This record gives sequence, C-alpha cells and structure tokens, in this order.
Amino acid sequence: MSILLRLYPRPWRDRFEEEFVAVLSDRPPSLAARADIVRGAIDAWLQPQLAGPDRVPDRHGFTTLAGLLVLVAALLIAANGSLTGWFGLLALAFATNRVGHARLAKLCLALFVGFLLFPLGGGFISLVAWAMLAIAPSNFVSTATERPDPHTASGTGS
Amino acid sequence: MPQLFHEFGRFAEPSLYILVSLSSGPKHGYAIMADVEEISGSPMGPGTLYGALARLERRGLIEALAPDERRRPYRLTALGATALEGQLEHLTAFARTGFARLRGTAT
Repeated sequence: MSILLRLYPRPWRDRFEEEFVAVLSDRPPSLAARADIVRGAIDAWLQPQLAGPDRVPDRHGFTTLAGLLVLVAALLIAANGSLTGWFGLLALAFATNRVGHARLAKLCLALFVGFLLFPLGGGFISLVAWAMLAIAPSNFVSTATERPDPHTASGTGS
Repeated sequence: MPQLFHEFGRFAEPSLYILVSLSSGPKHGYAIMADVEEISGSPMGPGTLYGALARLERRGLIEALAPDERRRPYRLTALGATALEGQLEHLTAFARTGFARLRGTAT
C-alpha cells in the first residue's frame, strides 16, 4: 500500500500520509479504492497548493536561477525546431509550477504554445504567446511571498 | 450549486457529504468514510476523502484538530456551518420545486 502513497507529492504526504495510512489500516482498500487512491494522487499533483504553501520559500532565488537557465537552454534547443526543446519547455512549466513559480510556468507554457503553433501557421496566436515574454521580467525579480499556511500551526513549515 | 462548491469540481458532492458528517461533531478520516457511506448509501474512496478534506480545509470550512495517535479528527468551522446551511437551503428549495412540478402544482 505504501507504493500507492508514494504516488503522492512530498508536501501532500508530509501533511496527510500518517492519517491516510491509519484510514487504510482501518479498512483495507478494495480494487476500486486503490483506483481512487491513484486518482487522488493525480489530483494532488495537479493541485499542489492543497497540501502546502502556495509558494515554496525561495529565499536564495535558486529555483528562479535554475529555472531561467533551463528556460534559456530549452529556448535554444526549441529554436532549432527540436522536439526536445519543446517538451523541455513543457517539463519546465510543470516543474516551475510545482515549486510555486506560477508565472514562470505560464510563460513556459506560452512559449511552448508559441513554438508549437508558429510552424502550423498560428502566427497571431504565437505572437500573443510571445507577448507574454514582455511582462515576464517583472515576475522574475519578484521575491517569494507566501500566503499564510494553515498547516504551519502543526509544525510542518520549513 | 453555489459558487463555492462549483470550485471543488468532482469533489463538490463528497465535500457536502463530509460537511454533513462533521455537523454532528468532530470525526477522523475512517469515521467520516463510514458515516458518509451510511448517509449516501455508497462508499467514498480514500483518495476522494482526502482530496475533499484538503479543499475544505484550504477554504476554512473545516479544521484539523490535534491528532489522536495516528488519527487526526476534523471539525466544522463557523464558516463551514454557514456554507453547509446555505447549501442545504438551496437543495431544499430545489427539491421543493422538483416535487411541485412533478405533482403538477407548480405554475
């Protein structure tokens, strides 16, 4: 059963794993319940803010710097028409969203869509996507500000 | 269904069941599951239970209490009670309209 729980993101497990295991020990899960757990894991990955702060503290700007470096690399590769670069952008979008850089994630998605549509003749939409780049710098220099986390009272804050 | 529950997507109905369950007092996960099964007539999966609990807690409709060994009870907040009351009133009005139309007494 612990294998299924490993499907959940770390912040979610830090918050709910112990009581979740207690529930499963009270009632061993049926096949349908196991499927429900997997579905719940997908939801937990799609909604990471449900079990943690909206932004992961990034006081040293490490994730911002790393994200920008990967973004530049992905752009260089994608500019050559490589699928690796495109999907690198997509992966970066998910990764940055995961650590709380929602705006950087949106930018990556916009670039991904832009690169995807441009060769298909979607010039206008592509330009709109690229326009988002113009507003990006103000996002990059902003420091992480966390919304009060209801779970820190139980001592899970970092 | 009010906007609050619309935001919960597929967790809207399970969330409502959980709020009803907690309206009679704090309960931990397994007790909620058992109670919801009794109320609704169908089991609630653990993934759905914790997806709904996380949303309800995030919106301040329920709050977690100190864990009792590994089991953490939850209780309804004042905001949660208000939201539940509004939702039940909405459903009551909906049911009244439905019955009236079914019996042909509605205008």
